[in-house]
Amino acid sequence: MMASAPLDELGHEELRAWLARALSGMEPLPRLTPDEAPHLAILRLEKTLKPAIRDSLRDAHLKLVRDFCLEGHGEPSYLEELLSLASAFRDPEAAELLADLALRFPELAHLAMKTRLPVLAALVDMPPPRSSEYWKALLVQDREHYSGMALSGTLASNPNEAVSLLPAMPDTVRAGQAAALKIDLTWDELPPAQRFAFVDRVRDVLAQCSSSFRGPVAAWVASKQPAACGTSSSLRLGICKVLGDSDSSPKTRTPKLCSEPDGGSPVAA
Amino acid sequence: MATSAFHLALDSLNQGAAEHVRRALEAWTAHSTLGQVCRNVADETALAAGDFVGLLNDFAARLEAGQPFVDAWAESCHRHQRRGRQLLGTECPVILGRARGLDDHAASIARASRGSGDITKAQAKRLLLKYAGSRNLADFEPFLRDAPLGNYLVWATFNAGDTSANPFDRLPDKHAQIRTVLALGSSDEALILLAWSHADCGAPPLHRPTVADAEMCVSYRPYPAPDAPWGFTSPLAPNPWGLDPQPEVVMRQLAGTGLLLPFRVVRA
Repeated sequence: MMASAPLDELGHEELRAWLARALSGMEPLPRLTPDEAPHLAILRLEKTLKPAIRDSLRDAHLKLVRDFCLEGHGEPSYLEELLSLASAFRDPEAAELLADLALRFPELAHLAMKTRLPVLAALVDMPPPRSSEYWKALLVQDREHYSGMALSGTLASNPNEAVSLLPAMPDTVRAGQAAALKIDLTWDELPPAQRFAFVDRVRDVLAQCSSSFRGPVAAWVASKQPAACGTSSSLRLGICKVLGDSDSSPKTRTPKLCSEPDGGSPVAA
Repeated sequence: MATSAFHLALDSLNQGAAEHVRRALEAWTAHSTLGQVCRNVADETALAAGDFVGLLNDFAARLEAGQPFVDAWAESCHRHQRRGRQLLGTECPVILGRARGLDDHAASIARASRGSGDITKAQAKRLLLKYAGSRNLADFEPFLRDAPLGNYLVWATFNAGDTSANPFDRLPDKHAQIRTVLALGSSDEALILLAWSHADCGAPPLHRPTVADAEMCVSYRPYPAPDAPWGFTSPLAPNPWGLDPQPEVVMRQLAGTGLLLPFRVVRA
């Protein structure tokens, strides 16, 4: 086989074969660094293609996703790249195929956890957000392994419903740290008027959470208490009356804008 | 004119193997990407003679077995990585650093968190942007330290004048300048600048990079001096700032346990 032909000279089948090889790191790609993940270089290349070739490349990708979703076969490193590209392409049909595949996990006993979790991660990152009912159905399959992804997925579609998942999360500090980070990212996106209520909901379920998990989440709740007015609900009501919901709500704490705990100055990125 | 290391290695192969290698490289010469790989192989200086012969022999055997050229090259390279000169203990820098794509590092964090928190790539990217420039990463820190600093092979630079210093402290801080001086591929995407303590990351052996490490990377250029203790980047043209080549080493994939904070994110 000679050197690779330009992509615009390839037929549909050849383009699909090229993409499968490129995702496996077997085609020269415009990488930023020699070790960069192939899907990122493919995305970079895609931006330089003519619209018709770009469409063909996306069709080829969808076909590869469809092939994977039929039986769930593929090398883990190839599938990792295929699914990462799916997240980036945000193709609604690919999202539906993957969502359906995840619901069929119990029928696909050969599908290893190291392939199942990337499928769920792609679903979390791809629009549209799946409903909380969808993630509940996955939790029924395997609460121990899917709870982290289910929390992320439910936070994206229904943050208040997601809080009710916290008491069932694994009893590890690391799970608590991840949950605190995810809750914080969700809080950043909430309209200011909804932030107090969201923090309150999290605080209300803390007592039901397991001990190792609870610590980081409780620390997050504490970091969101307005220092000036403590937790006095009557005082908070008074402030809300005077300032209105929006102005009285806690604002996003970004480390770049706040002093460091050791007294150091903030460092601009 | 001295015979190149490539020609010496080629002459050591049997006639059939040498012919396979010649034909493959000739087929690549006019290709936009592989043409540079071909020139890099011809200019290679960092592989010891035995390793260069081994690389070409392995490549030829794969071609003879009917493997496509690119697959054969990629797999031969994988089997001959980290064969450049190993830095002596006393030569190893205290602090190493690298630039990589922000998305690439977010993907590394996401993969490392699977089964232990399950942060997704999109979440990891938002967290990297949120905590860039901060020394207090709170709950994010363990996830950042678990993540590998590269995929399979880590490329790094250092400050040869003061190996205890963060190399980015003396490098320019603009995106285009960093890309130029570290010879990164063409991209306007955000970069993350990572620096770490070599000892706190387990002090893996450091090697001078070779064509096998670069595999099919087009921005890599072999450093011409065969006796240099480590490699040097070849700043991208046109380099209007006149930036000097920077030291360059490779090592096995390692987690960022010894990462220095804060890390920085640089946008175009």
